[in-house]
Amino acid sequence: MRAVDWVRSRQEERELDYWLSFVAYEKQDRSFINRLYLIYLVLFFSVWIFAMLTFFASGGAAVLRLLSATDPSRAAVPIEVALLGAWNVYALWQACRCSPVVFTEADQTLICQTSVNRRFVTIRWLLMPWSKSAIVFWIAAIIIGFSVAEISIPGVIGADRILEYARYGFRPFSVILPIQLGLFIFQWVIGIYRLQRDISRRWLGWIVIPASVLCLSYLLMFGNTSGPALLFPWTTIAQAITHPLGSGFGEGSLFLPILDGVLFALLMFAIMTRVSGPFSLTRAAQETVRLEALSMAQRYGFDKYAEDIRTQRRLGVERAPSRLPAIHGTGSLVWKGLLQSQRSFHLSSLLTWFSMFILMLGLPLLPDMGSRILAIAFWVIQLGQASVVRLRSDLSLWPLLRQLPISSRRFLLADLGPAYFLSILVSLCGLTVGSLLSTKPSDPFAFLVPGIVAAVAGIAAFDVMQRSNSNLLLAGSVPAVSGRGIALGLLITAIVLVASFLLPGFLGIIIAIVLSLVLGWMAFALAARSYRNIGSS
Amino acid sequence: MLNLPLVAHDISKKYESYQALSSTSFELHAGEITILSGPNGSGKTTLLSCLSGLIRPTSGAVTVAGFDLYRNEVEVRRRMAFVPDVPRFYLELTAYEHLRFIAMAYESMDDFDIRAERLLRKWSLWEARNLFPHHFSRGMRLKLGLALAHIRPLEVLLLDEPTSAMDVEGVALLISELRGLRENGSAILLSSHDPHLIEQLGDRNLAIQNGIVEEK
Repeated sequence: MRAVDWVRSRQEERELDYWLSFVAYEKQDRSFINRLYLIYLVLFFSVWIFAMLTFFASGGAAVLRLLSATDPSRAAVPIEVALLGAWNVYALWQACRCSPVVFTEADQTLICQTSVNRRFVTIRWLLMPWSKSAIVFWIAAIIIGFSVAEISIPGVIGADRILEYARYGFRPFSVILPIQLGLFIFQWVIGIYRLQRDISRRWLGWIVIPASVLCLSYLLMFGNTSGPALLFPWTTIAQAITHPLGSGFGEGSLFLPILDGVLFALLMFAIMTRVSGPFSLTRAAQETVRLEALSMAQRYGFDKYAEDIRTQRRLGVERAPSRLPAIHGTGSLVWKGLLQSQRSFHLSSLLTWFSMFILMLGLPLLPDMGSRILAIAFWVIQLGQASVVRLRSDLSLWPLLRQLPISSRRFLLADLGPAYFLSILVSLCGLTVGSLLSTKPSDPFAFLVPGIVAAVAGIAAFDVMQRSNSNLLLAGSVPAVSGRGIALGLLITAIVLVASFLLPGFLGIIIAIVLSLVLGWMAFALAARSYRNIGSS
Repeated sequence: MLNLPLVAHDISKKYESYQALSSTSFELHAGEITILSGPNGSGKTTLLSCLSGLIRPTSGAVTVAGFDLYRNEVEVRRRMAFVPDVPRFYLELTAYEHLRFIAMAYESMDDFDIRAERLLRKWSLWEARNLFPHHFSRGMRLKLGLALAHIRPLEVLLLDEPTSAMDVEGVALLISELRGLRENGSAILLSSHDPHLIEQLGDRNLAIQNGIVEEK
C-alpha cells in the first residue's frame, strides 16, 4: 500500500511540476526569492483569472439574453446541464471502450501484476484525473454565474459590489463541484465494472443510449421539467438532477443542493469501492498503456513517436491483402506510398492541403502586395512541410530503404512526385476559385506554381537529407524541415517573383516560368546528391 | 579480385575522435560462410553497416562483384542483402505486403504468391501474414527480415546477430537455409556470439576487438 501510495504521489508531483514549469516556478528551490515569486504568482494569477472570467462573463450574458429574452438567468441551468450531459455521455462511451483508470508502462510492470489491493489503487488513482477534468466545469460554472450577475445586478458593477459579484460565481461552483465528482466516479464505476476479473461485459456500452436520451430530451424541452409527461417522461429524474444546479443561480440556501450533490458523490464512491474489489488492473493497463505513452509523447514533443502510436491504433492488428495492382521497380515506392496514404488517412492529414488551398484561394482576393506576399510566404512554408512527409517516413526506415535497387533520382521522383502533383492541383484549384470569386480573369502566379513547387519541394528534401545523420536514421530519427530549409524556399520564391515583377508582360512571365523550372531542377539535383551522401558526416 | 562477391579495401570508421573501426581489408568468397565474432561494442554492427552502405566509412571502399558500393549503388543493391539484428518495418504494410513490396522493387515477381507462401510457412509466419509487423515479437521480426532477404535474388548476405532472439526451431532452420545459400554460391557474413552457430557454419572466422579485425 505504501509503495503504491509512494508511486502515485511521485506521479502527482511530476504532474504538478510540469504545470508549474509553465510559470517557471521551481518547487525544489526553497530560497526567499522563490517564495516571494510564489506569492507574486498567486496574486498575479488570482487577478488575471478573475479578469478573464469577468471578460468571458460579459459575452456569456449576451448568450443568456439570446437564449431567453424574458428571463436570461433561466437559460443558465440548461447550459450547465448541456455541458455536464455531453461530457458525461462522451466519457461513458469512452469508459465502455477503454479503462478510465489509466496506467503507465511502469505501473503495468510494478503495480498491475502484483497482488495489491485493487480498491486502494482505484481510490488512490482518482484524485489527479478528477481534478484535471473538474477544472473546466468549475470555470464554466463561475463564468455562467458571473454572466447571471451581469444581468441581475443593476447599474455599473464597481469595486463596492465585487463581493456580491463573486458570490454569483461561487454559488454554481459550490453546487457543481460534488455533482461533477459524482458523475466522474459514476463513469469510473462503469469502466471498472466492465473490467472485473476476466468477465466480458460488452452490453455495458448500451448505457450511453439512455444517458443520451435523458440529456437530449431535457435540452429539447429547454429545461422545462414541468412539461407534459407524455412529451417528457423523464420529468422526475430530470428535476432531481437539475434542481440542485438551478439552486446555484437562485437566492435560497445552498445547504440542501450541496447536500444532494455530496450524497450523490458519496453513493457513487461507495459503489466504486464495492465494484473495484475484483477490478482487473492488468486488463486496464493493457487498454491504457499506449494511450498514456501517446499523451506523454505529445506533451514532451516526440511528434514522430506520437504519430506512430496514433497510426498503430488506427490500423488495428491485421488487414486483408491490398488489391492494388503490382508496380515493378521504382513504381513499387508509389505502390507502397498509395497503400500507406490509404491506410493512414485521417481528416487532420488534410489540414495542410486545405490550408494551402485557402491561401491560394485568398491570393486573387487580396488587395495589396504586402498581404499577397504574406499569403505566398505561408503557402511556401506549408508546401515545404507537405512535400517531405513521405520522404521522411521512408528515411525513418533507413535499413529497408537503403537496400532497394533504386537510384537516388528515381527514389526522389517516386517520393516527392505524388506530393508535387497534389500541391500543384490544390494550389491551382485554390487560385481558380479565388479568381472566380474576385472576377479577375486569372492570377499570373498560377503560371509560376509548377516551378516554385518543384523548387520548394526540392529544397525541403535537400534540407532534410543534408541534416540527416545515418546513425540517427538507423534509430528511426529523421529531422524535420529546418528554418534554413524554409528560408531557402522563401528565397527561391522571392527570386522568381522579383523576376516576374521586374520584367512585366508576356516575356516577363515566360522568363519567370523558365527561371522557376530551372531552380526547381537545380533543387532536385541538389536533393539527389545529398541523398547519395547521407552518412558521409 | 574484381569478381569476388565482396571486397573491403582499407575501410575504417571514425566518430570525431573515437575510432569505431580501424582500417581493415578482407574479402568474402562465393559459397563461403564467414563468421564475425567479438565482444559487445567491438564494432561488429559498425562493420556490417559500413559494408551494407547504411553508414559511410570514413575511408576505404567496398566493392560487390566488382561494383563500387557508392558509385554503382543500384548494381550493388541488386546483389547484396543485409538483415539487421532488430529489423524495422512500415507501420501500414502487413508482413505479406512487405514481401510483395520488396519483390516488386527487385522486379522479382515471378511465381511470387507460391514463393511467398513457401517462405512464410518455412519461417512459421504464414498464420501471421496479414498482421502488421509492429505487433510481432523480436524473433518474428527477425524471421520476416530473413524472409525479405530470401524473396529476392542475392549473391552476398550480411546478417547481424541473426540468432539473438530466435527460437530453437528458428536457429535450426536458419542454419539449414544458410547452408542452402552457400551451396548455391552465395557469400555470407554473419556476426554472432553463438558458439554452436560458429562451429556449425563457420568456413572462415573473423574476430573483431576494439574495432580491429583479424582473421582467426
